[in-house]
Amino acid sequence: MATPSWTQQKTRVRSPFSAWKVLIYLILALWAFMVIFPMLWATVSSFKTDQEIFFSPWSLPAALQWDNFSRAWTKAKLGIYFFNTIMVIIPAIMLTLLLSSMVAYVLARFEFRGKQIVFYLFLTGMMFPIFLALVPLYFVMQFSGLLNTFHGLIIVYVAFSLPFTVFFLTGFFKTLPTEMAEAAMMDGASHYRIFFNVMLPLAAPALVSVGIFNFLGQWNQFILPNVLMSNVGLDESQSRYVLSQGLYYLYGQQFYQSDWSGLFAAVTLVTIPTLLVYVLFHDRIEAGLTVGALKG
Amino acid sequence: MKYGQRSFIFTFLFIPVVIYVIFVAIPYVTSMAVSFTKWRGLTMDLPFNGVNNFVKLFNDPNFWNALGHNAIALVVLPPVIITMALIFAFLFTQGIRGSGFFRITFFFPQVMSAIIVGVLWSFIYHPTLGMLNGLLGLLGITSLQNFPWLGDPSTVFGAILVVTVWQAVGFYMVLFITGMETIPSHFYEAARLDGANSFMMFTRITIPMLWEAIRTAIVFLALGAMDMYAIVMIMTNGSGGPSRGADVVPRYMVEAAFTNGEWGYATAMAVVLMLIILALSILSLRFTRRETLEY
Amino acid sequence: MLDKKRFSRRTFIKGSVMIGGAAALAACGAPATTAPTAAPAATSAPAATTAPAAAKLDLPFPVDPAAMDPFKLDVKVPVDGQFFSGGFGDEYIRYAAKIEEMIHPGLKVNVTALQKVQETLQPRFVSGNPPDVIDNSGAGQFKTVDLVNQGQLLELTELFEAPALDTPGKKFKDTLFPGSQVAGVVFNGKQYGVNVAYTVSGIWWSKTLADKNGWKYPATWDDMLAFCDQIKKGGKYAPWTYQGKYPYYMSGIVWEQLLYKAGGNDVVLKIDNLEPNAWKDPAALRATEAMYALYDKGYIMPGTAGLTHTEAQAEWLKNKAVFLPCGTWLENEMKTVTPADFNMVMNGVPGFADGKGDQKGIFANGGEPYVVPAKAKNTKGGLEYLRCILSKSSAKWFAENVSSMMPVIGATEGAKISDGMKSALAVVQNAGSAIIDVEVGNYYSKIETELELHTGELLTGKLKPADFLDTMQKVADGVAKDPDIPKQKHVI
Repeated sequence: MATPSWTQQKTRVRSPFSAWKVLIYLILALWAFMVIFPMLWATVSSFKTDQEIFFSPWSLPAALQWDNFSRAWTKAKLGIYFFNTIMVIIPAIMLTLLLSSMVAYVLARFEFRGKQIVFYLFLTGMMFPIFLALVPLYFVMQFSGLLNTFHGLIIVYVAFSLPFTVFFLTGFFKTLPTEMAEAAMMDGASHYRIFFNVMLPLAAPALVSVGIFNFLGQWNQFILPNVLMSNVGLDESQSRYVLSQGLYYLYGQQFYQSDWSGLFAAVTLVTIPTLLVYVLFHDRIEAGLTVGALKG
Repeated sequence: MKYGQRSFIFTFLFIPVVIYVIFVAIPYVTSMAVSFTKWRGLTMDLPFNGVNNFVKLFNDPNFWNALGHNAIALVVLPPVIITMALIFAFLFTQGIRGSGFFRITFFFPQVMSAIIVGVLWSFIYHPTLGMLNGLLGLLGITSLQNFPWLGDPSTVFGAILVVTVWQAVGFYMVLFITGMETIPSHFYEAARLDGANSFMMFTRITIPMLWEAIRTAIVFLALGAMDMYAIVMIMTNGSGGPSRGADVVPRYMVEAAFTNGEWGYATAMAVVLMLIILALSILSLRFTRRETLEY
Repeated sequence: MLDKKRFSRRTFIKGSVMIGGAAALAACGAPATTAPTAAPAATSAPAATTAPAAAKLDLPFPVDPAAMDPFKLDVKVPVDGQFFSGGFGDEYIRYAAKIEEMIHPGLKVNVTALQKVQETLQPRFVSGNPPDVIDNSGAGQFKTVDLVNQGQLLELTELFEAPALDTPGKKFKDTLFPGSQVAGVVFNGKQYGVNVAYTVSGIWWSKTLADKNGWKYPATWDDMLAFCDQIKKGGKYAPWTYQGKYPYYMSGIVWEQLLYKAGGNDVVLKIDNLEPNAWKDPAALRATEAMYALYDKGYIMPGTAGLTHTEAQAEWLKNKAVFLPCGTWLENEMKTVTPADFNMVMNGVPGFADGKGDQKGIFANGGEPYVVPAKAKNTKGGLEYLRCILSKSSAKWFAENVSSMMPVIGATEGAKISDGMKSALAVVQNAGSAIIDVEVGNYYSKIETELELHTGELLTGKLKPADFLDTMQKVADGVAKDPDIPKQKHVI
């Protein structure tokens, strides 16, 4: 946007070649190495044979084992599971963000009786391990006919993502400036309009951040689909496993027949889209920040 | 007007609260009731056990051992991770090139599959092939040659905390950067005109302006420290470490429930843990409450 | 008692696959087509008559009319089977389901493959709607003893007394390897499950390495220690390694067999039956000191305690250490990592010249326990499934396609068996009827957990043998006193 961030301004002010800068780059490079090296290692390992992984874990593969990937793809049915996962996660995240921001907005901006109760109701939801809820949850799902359905899984994902998201967004809504909402109120806008037309756009950066967080959580969620989609086995041609289940299934099998290279290939295949999503959303954050800059 | 507001609040809360109550609250409350029983997990038979589970818990050294590790994580993780994340975030404001690259990179461990994190760090800590012992060897520290970092009760939990920090720093860094970039630049310009240096601007402007984000981070990390389930399961291969040297309450809970079939007892553990966490979050929220800066 | 269940109890624990061969490949894509599987095609078409299906399945066995339908199945009620799918894959499970469907035209046998059996199926038990048959194996399985204690499992006498499917004139129970249907499936003298895979557990080394150095496998534990001393002095290899993060490979395979060899079944039964001061028995001390000597004399490869099972086994495959305890699944598990000329073979655990037990004894028993829930809708269908999966035909398919063994007599004749399995079978042959059976861990999870934990401490010098036994005695006393833990009685 028109207002350049102060970071950029500073770049022009300071000399880029001070000792301070060198130190900064050193620190950043060191940490980046600590992150990239393992990533690279996992990726390189997915091209190795099992023997190479265990006998010479830090060396390069003698020959590229592309076969690992085709094996992972067919064995883990990654294609189907990937599609299933997307089918569940996209609506789940959209709904989570919508419902959570509604709750968070109300909690952050309005005074009403029972407000503390609602807040702590959601807060406590973050504190229980999921597995304790499984058996009762199974009954709830069975009772409502949602067992083994995608929409059932979506609702459960939403329900379990609410506490964290509400908590996160409540904090954010509190920091948003009040002038614009007040101005809109002066103009006669309803609460609904203010929320959807003013507050939600302002909250875009936070929504993206928490959306990413939910994406990661739901992407890796294993326990819920495993129990709630359990009657759907691998034998059906249209299996309803989600990716985390598929990957876990593959991982579980590692303990009985080693195919570590295949597992690494599968993990690489699964990780790449995650990385891509992050890179894409990362741009969104930048875009969202220009919205934020308006107020400054 | 007032009436409109009330109906607005009701409308906005209704659907989320209903979904939440049905799918989260009711199952959890039901399971809390189980903490007063001797439920063994397979039938509808729920013999009432009064507060015996809680008494047993109080006298169970394994529980205290596990809780102790959670407490260590609670003391160590939030300050270390927040400090590191703040430093990194601060460095990013120093006008560096390639910041996009670094940001994505730093964040990435958070995205990595738990499986890979486990296998990878297991190789890093590998007594003979491992990078860590290799590095120590290069530095001439031979007394630790072949040291089993994950196989010794005195080092296993520390080794796991390192992995946790490695995974989490990037996320909080991004959180803080996002916050920093919403701080209006004229604050800094004004400060610079007044002769403030980078460090002063960081402590006098950045930290106060970021307080809400830091507070959020403290609460998340405190919650995370009381959990630690996944990472401990992965790094100790499910056992809680040699001599339970890295056990945490949620893992011990799983042992009680799944291995020993003591579901009532495990649930009691969960209830106690929940109460502790609830107290902690109320405390940390109270403790960190400050006037939010309006601008 | 070294059944696979103990080896796959937890989330990250490896289980009981046995034996090399095509298992890994068969499950994964390209080579799968070579497996003559009767895969799902026909399941959707109950109309498919036996004739073409039989031709495709190659159901070669004649079935006595008397053996056709001992349980009087209602073919209109489908069978709901939920099966752990580990290293054997799930094709053998489907193969048995096909057999059952063919024998009972019109019957539908649903096969669901799972990981994490307990997490997945627990709600179904609680709601009173369990499946008809379960492969209760792998990481996250139910503790079988829990299912038994809560009255959830069908007692299998009816099955064991029923005629065998394709061994004419024999009862089902008489077609199985002696001793294979005890560990982990018999509680208080009653049969609550069948072990579908056959596992032998002992000490492995590389035949190639041994031949190269002219080594002879030690006959007694004293010889073992002397031999370790020689290896250590040679300086080229460490004598021992084990699956460091899972010390129960040592407690389960080495200590328990030493215990039997030192004190015979007397001491085993004392410990299994929680008798007072059982762990203070001189034989227990002798076994413990014998194992502890490996640490005390520095025979264990440095760093072992920090290794996972795969990592430790990989070090062993690199000849970093000479001996490794494991079951017959080792060969298959490490297949893709094993150097071509390694030639791994299994030996028994060397005993004591003056020990009370049979010094040729060995752990040779079943794994992969299958059970039938008592409250299942179609228990007869479940029983019939078990009869089918432990038929000769199924066992032969298993041996040929999964390269493992089912404990079915005469099923592997002519089938190609791996060298590792052959070496293990030779040990079993030599042992004759001396099949060791220690059940305490199957009976009481807490003892199992603590035994593993303290074995780890013993082998890293954190506990001395006497303290180890003191500690274990306290654990056993605690279990004995706990009124909430139902007690088991082991009789041999």
